[in-house]
Amino acid sequence: MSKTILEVKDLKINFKTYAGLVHAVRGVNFDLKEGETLAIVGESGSGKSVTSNALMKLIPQPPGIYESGQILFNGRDLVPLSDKEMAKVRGNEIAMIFQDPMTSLNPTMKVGRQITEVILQHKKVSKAEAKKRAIELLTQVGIPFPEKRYNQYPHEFSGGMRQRVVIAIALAADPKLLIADEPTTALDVTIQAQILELMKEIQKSSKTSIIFITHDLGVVANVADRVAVMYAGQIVEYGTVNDIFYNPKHPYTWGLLGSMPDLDNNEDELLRTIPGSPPDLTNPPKGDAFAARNEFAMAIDYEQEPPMFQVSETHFAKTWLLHPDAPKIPLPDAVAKRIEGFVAKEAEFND
Amino acid sequence: MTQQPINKEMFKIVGGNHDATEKLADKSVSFWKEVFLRFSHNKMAIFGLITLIIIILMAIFVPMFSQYKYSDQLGVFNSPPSADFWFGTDDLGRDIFVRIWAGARISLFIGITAAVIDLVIGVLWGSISGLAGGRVDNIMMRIADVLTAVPYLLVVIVLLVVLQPGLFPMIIALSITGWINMARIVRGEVLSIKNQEYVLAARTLGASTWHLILKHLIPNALGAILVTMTLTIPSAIFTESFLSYLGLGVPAPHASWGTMASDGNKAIASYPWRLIFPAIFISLTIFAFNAVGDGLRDALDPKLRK
Amino acid sequence: MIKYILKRLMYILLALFVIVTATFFLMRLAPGSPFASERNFPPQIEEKLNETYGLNNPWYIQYKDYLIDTASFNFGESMKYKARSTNDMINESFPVSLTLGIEAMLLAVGFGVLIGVVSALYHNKWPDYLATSIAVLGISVPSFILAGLMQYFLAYKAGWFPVSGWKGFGYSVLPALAIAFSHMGFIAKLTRSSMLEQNNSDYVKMARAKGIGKWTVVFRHTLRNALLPVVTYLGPLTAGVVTGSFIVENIFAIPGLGKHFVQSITNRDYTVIMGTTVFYSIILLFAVLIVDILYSFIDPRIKLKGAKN
Repeated sequence: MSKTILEVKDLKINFKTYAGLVHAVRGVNFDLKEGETLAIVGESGSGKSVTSNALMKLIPQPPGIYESGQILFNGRDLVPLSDKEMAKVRGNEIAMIFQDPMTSLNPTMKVGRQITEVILQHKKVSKAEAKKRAIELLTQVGIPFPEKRYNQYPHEFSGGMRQRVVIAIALAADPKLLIADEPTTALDVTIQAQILELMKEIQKSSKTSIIFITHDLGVVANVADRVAVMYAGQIVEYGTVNDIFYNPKHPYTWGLLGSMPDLDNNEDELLRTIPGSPPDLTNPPKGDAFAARNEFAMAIDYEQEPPMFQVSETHFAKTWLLHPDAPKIPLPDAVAKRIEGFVAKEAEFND
Repeated sequence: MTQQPINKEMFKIVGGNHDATEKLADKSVSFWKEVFLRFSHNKMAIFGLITLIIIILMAIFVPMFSQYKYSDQLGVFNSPPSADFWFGTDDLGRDIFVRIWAGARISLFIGITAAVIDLVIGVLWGSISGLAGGRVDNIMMRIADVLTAVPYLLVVIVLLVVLQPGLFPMIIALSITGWINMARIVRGEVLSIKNQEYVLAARTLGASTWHLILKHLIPNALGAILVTMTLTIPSAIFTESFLSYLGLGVPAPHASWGTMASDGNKAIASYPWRLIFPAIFISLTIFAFNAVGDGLRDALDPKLRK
Repeated sequence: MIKYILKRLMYILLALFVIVTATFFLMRLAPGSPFASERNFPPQIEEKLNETYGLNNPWYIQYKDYLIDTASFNFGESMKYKARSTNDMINESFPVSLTLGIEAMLLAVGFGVLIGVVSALYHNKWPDYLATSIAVLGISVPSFILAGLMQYFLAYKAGWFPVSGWKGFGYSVLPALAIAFSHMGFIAKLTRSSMLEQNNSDYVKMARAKGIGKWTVVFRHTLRNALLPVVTYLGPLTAGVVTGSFIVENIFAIPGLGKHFVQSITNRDYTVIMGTTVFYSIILLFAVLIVDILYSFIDPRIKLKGAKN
């Protein structure tokens, strides 16, 4: 049984804004084992980015407030740590890959220095050794002519190359946990695939744990071991990739699966969307936050927030539909079809 | 969280209510209303606006109703501020208080007129250049580039030396290069709007160029134009004062704040109030226009729009 | 780079040509001759003077002569002060103005950046409000007005500084400050908003995510990028300091070129006006060129237009 390196317990984060107090993260629980990849999926406003930034205490306080909860990294709670103490953790034990490679690199600093900066900050090595390591990293992330590239500026790299540099920077101090905040969203689809491959390779070779934030279920299927689906600041479904893709239980997850565009779609099949918009988190709705957009919502969904129901040892979902008294809803057609497709592809692959 | 007892009734399917969510999310306010709201939250801008309104009102009414007229020589020379003469008197025995407000009329008139002239020329130059595009645009902008390189204050000084100081020569001199900035900004707006899809759409629907200018170009460019104009005025007031110090200001008996300051500066050792009062009002007015202009610019900034 | 410089030199020559021509023709339009205001000259002497200054020649010949003179940096003789060539005046007084100007620029940039950075780092706390107030004050009060007030309160009344003259470093403090203050305010404002903008950028967040300390991030990452707009302002700053010097030198009785320039305006001494105008123009145009080249070295993203990489 591999070691658990991260445990997040009932994390609640608020933001003080002119419009009021925004409850961005409303009680999030998950854990992560050594060497595994957890994908956090959700739409904009679900709280996934806030959660990932919160893990590294990168939320500016004010206006952010760590209302309650714990972030246990290797048993140590990060929430009460001061900024100075956190600085020893950041880049060193936990590193982050940001979304937009065009803006996450300092435009007036040479790329090589942006990598060695991390190494020199956390490891007692000479400048020459740091440079050597940086060039190794550039090679590892697949950048040709690394010695030349070391002295170049970010604008001399393409988007995909820049993201590789960002990954190199993240790996520079051998972190145990990598948080990737939508690392491929800003890239072309073909480049996306390359970056994902790169990350999988890295994980295989160095046993880093990865938290992968995304809104794209296709990416999830590709890289994740386990998945947490977030909606309106909470995790609504949680399980292994197989659990989520072959046996989804939450209507929101159904909506996500149903709305995935698929090359095998029939031309005259309409793409299913989830109607409506996410709720305003300055006034989180009573009950199940997804109720208003849920065609299967029940009266109780508007009254009481559902607890997390356990579906299996690995699989949990936060919906009243799993209550013994709830009607048994068959999987919507679109979702069932999607799952058939997955199964078929899996079978093909295995042959 | 209060736990109500759960009964089987509550598990009847009732479905979603998503139209409500759409309505809440769509609380869109009209563009100008939003601009106004953001502007009114800017304390400095509001302070500047109020200051300007007070100054303008005083400039209009004080000379009308004051017991002294601005050119009246009252036989009390160089006296410090007192109950009779709130801002003191100058070397010809004139009441400085009423002269400040008469001077306000002139300084503001000069500043605003120069800004308006810059507006007209700039908008024409910029829109023609932007709409025409191609070689015409190129040439017009090259001319503007060369003219920008010319250090304008020097040309202005030479111009005034030649034209003999006066109210209208002053205005002409001040508007001479300000239009270039306006032209550039207008051209920028024209170019960005020209290529927007809604313009292409309107065109395909048969809209004429004139209609496009009126209905689309001007409302969108209005913000930038307004900001530029508001920020040109304090620059004009500054330059007018500057030129007055060089002896090129409006001639007596009219007085602008610039000429009053210049005269006051000569006598500063003995009668400091003759410089202090015009100095205060020049600075205050420059500040107020800048504050309002900055406030407008921030209120219009699309990046800040939520 | 060479290509770029050559292209810019062309623009400069073009601009200078416009200035010289405009100045020339404007001067010709000026009513009366420069001699008319003074004592009445007997006609023969006036005739002689006109001839000496070539004022009897047709305009195109005068123009040609003028262009040639200007191109060879011969700015002629003062019409007011006989036997004083404009070139001499410039040579004598420019170094004084240069010293004053450099002092003013150092003050403006040095304090401006300092105030702006402090402002941004203590955003919305009292140092920010104090610094912003100083900046606003600077921008609102014209340099020449400030000069008069400073002279009165700090020199005349308080006696902390000499009232006028140019006999040592102490004499340069008030005038340099007067010239610098409004630019200091503008630079402070510029630096502040630039710093705030950079502080919110992704790469700063990334730097913090690397575990680098707050202040190290500011000095190693944020500041460098935030100062780029300030470098761009150096061109207009030079122009502002030059024009600021005119009146300030007059107020503090400093024997600089600005003072001569102002005097020549009052005297309607056309040759000096023209010569000084052209001289100043050359300086300003080259200042802008130098700043642009400087900027291209500082910002690695900039490839100068017309330059081959």
